[in-house]
Amino acid sequence: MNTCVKIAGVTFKNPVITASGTFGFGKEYAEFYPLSALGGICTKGLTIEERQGNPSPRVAETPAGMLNSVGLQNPGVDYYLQHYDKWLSRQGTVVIANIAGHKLEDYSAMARKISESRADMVELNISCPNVRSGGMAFGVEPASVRRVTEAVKRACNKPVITKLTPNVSNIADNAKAAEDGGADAISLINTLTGMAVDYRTRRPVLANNTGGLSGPCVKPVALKMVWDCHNAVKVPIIGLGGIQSYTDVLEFMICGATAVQVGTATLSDPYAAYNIAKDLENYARENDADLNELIGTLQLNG
Amino acid sequence: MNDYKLKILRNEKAGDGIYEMLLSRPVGVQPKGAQFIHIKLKNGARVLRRPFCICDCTDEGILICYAVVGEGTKELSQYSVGEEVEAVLPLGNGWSAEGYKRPVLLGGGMGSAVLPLVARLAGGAKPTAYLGYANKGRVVLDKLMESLCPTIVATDDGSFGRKGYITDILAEDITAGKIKPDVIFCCGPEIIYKLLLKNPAFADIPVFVSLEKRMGCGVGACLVCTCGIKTKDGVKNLRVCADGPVFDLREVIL
Repeated sequence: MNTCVKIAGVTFKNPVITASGTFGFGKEYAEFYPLSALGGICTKGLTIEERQGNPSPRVAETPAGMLNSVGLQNPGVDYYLQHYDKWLSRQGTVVIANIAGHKLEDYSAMARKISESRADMVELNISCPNVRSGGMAFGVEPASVRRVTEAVKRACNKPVITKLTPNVSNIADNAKAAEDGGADAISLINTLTGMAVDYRTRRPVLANNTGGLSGPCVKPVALKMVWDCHNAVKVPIIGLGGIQSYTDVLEFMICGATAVQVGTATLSDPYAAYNIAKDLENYARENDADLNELIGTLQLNG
Repeated sequence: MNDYKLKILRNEKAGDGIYEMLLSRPVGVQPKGAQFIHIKLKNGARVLRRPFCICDCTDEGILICYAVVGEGTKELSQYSVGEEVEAVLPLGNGWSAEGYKRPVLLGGGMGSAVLPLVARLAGGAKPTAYLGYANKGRVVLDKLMESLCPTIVATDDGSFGRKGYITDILAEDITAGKIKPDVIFCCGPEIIYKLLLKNPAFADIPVFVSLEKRMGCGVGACLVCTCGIKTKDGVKNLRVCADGPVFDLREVIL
């Protein structure tokens, strides 16, 4: 049996990575279980300067999902490097630093900072729906996906993952653009833009009016997009969107994902990523399976 | 703090649309006042846990008191005795009246639910509770509070206890010299915090408030439950779940 997967030369002991923004910098969950049980951790999105994020309420539960509009609140990359970088590097798991910016130069500057960190990889957040400038603005047009990926690749000596937004007409075009820009891997999907409305007040529930939809309700959308991208690019794909169980992971791998990220499920259950990783190991053991052999094996009907 | 399976020992109506649920207490768990519990709902389509302050904690169990305000609390009210719920506890920093002499524990409506455990763990302090409700049907936990400390109950319409808004009643008693609180610990709707800041009767008294926000993870990771708080480095969006839920009222951006 084998649960190890490799992405751009980095070995993950299992394909389960925590998704950016749902796991902080790991410290909170290290009180529940050893983080070494995870394939990897993707950090909260980092920016050059500290950001206070959007006004609250920032969350609204929706059927089988939730909307969030945190707006990239984070202590800034320098604080991260001073307070979390070393600690995270000692947890026995792959560390992926997620970076975001307002303009191209921000991404380059962030990439240089992360180059000097202990992180194993960097993930480009060019798909955050909750910030007005930057974020998703870079993620929509294939030309700008390519441009920002190239800029980060030039400035960074670590493998680069470009995280794609589903809020586009053809995500495969953007996957290709990221690959052409030199991305070592792509991750998808980020949240879908959405709105929750209170009929009594006739107002959106979120202070920011709109937010990003995540949770089990987006899983079918994510699976389809992972499959579309699998057919468009050669670089490894990290799939995410509503994963709650090890069978969800298997479905994503069959659609073409080499690894997955678990996000909203951690809010429902602090042990979600841990349990999914353990269940996957049990599955691989009981079936004497190499999980790598599942990747992209989807067979279409008729 | 950990995730536990808790048995429902009691789940019954305590007022109009208000329920009390007694849960089994895990061995060794000793929550502080104003800490909270984060309960997973059984309907998996409701992906977020529901946070409730730990109302009381004794050998009998852990008590929560909740109003049915949406589908999640409605689901909770339908659980039967003997069923188990999954919950993380205790969460948040809590608050203790210890070290004060004459704390006033001020509750507005469902905010009163945070006060019993604070009163029970008050140590050498001699608390007095002021509990305000809209009307008689919404009065809950008054008997429990009376068993723990002197308790004044008021309703806005005068249908139970003294008549008037609870901050006015407390201000009246302070001005008349009937009570000299050295601290106020309060939980209630936002209007109660605004009135505490506005009324000169409270000007010289430290006030701590237990805030409530829509939460995600409950443990400090997801940053959805933030509130603007004045710090030495300016206003920061702190996490109500992990940095709070109790803050100095005069530092809270309302």
